[in-house]
Amino acid sequence: MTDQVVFAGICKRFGTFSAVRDLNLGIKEGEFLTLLGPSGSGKTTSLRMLAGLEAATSGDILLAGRRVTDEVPEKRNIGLVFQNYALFPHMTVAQNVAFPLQMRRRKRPDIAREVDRVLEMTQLGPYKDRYPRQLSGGQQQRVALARAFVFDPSVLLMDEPLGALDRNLRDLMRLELKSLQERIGATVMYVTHDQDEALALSDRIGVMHQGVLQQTAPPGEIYERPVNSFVARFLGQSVCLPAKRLERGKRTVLSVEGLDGRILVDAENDTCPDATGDFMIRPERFALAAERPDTADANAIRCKVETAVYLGAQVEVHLRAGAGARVQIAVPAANAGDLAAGSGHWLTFRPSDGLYLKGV
Amino acid sequence: MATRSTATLRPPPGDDEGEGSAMPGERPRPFLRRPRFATVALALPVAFMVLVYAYPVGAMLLKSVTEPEFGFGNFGRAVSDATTWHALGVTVRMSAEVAVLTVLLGFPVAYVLARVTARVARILSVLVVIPFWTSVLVRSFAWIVLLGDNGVVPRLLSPFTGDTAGLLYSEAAVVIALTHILLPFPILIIKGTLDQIDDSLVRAARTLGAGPVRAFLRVYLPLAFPAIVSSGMLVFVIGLGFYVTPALVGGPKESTIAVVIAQSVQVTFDWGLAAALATMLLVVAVALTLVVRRLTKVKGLVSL
Ligand SMILES: Nc1ncnc2c1ncn2[C@@H]1O[C@H](COP(=O)(O)OP(=O)(O)OP(=O)(O)O)[C@@H](O)[C@H]1O
Ligand SMILES: [Mg+2]
Repeated sequence: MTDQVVFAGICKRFGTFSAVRDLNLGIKEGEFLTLLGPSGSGKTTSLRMLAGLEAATSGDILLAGRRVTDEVPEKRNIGLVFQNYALFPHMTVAQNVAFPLQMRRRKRPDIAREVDRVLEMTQLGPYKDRYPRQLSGGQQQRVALARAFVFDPSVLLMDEPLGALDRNLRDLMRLELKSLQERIGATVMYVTHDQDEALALSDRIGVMHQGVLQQTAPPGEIYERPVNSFVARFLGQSVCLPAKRLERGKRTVLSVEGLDGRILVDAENDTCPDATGDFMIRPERFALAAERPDTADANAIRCKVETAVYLGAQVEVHLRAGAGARVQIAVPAANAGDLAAGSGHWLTFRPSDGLYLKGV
Repeated sequence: MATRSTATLRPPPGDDEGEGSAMPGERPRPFLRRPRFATVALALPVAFMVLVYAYPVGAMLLKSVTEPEFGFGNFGRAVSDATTWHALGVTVRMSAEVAVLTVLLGFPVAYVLARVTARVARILSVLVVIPFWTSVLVRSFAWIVLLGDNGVVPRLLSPFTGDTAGLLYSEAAVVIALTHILLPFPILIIKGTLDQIDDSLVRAARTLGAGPVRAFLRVYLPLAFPAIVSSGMLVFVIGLGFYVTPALVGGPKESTIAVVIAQSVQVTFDWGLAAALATMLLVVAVALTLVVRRLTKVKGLVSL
């Protein structure tokens, strides 16, 4: 089966500045794909090129196998939810939602029926005769969403649709959004720079950095097996330290800046093409021990407690390794033991928990 | 402990649906001292307006029923004179023509001003405003030169008309000159509104299936409509009372009401009649403004 959306070697330059470089990406039908990246990484630009609001400098865009690179936006049949919603202020909720159907010259009774159905789905029924300015932020967001999928678009694009909402409402709308997407079975391309949102919603996440798509993978894989230290740092907590490879084999032997001794990682965790790169580990993979463990193949680093912050369920421990690296881990309060400042401990982890990555 | 307090801060689920939370109004007013400051700040301009506007208008209204004697005699004379009705008709018609023309010509200019970069817009805006620095008298005289016998305009038109006779002292001359003089108003007012229209609205319309023309007609134009109507109304009202230009380039057959009023004052020294005519003009202006407002639901110069 071919992909619903294909970016094939898409580049976008503004003058001499490259906003998007050689973007290759396919989105399957019914898939929820999120572009995640810091501000200015080219997420919106990619979305706008797919919607036809921005012309690609080179490359091709395919929609359901059809080349749409040079097609005007109104011919692409794409639903786009703008970050600021872009609701028509002179139209009521019902008129806003009816607009795309009117543009498609649908019959009046059909339009009324469709609008009612979609407003029902988005729980906007009671507000159908209100104007956008008479709605709360969350309600406006739902109108924008309803308007974008009422005409059954081939793909639904959303540019930080929850960005303007406060934290609590954002969590609520996130759940609504996901269940709605599953009900209508829409193909979604979603843009955010909120990693929690990306992890919670997506089938796959594409991480962008300086116009380059770094990695596209399901949330678990992005988190567990990032391709480089940018992706590792951008998603979740991580300890990332510059490292040199000393030996290769069943295990890769590393010398890591700030950690004394030789660090072992499994060969399959060594994805760095170069002799220098970054050592990365998720802090929750560390274990804290009072004594040096006697298993030969575990990594053990001697360190001192700097501070320990009691947070109820957990204790947040700030440690300093002998060679200078600082590490912050969370320990369940129940078995925290003695964490007095200055006390010595061993930080241990298995070779399967550490990664050796290309540094970015 | 920290988690507990955030949990209590969280509103109950579905709270955003509530009527109350979406509507302000039940909140206590935060700035109780504000009206007092406003009162002070407004006192001066209000006093000024009373002095230079309310007082003369009041005096005029009074004169219309007291000069030369108490009663509605002046209105009786004005109403029974065919000249009055003719002049009033000419005035309303010409003002309406000028209002429509300035809006039709001004909208595209405003559109361009709102589209170009800020730098270009500044330069072009200055060009729009420059005529304001020249007196209306001078600009009206300029039109006498341009439209007169053997003037630039008749000569340009001569291949079509066959002679170079001037267009002066006609309704057309007044409409042309007034359109030129009043054009900056709609341009600047409409530009102000177009600047506030969010570009993403038209883009949204495009992604929703509207071609450029329909996106313009269904989204952009309706949002500009209040400014179009209110600037047209402004030009219309200014046109009703305009004196200099109709007096200079208009013909005796198409005297506007302002010209008739001036004649009553300067030629026949009939202050009572002049005041009655002026009062009638005021009533017509207010009445027509209200009608337009009612028909278009546009409240005034403040829009969006
Ligand atoms: N019209 C434009 N002209 C010039 N540069 C532009 C234009 N639009 C975007 N850019 C640049 O392209 C880069 C990518 O912009 P884009 O809007 O795609 O970022 P983004 O990933 O969506 O960021 P954010 O999370 O802040 O929305 C930015 O550096 C931006 O300055
Ligand atoms: Mg963006």
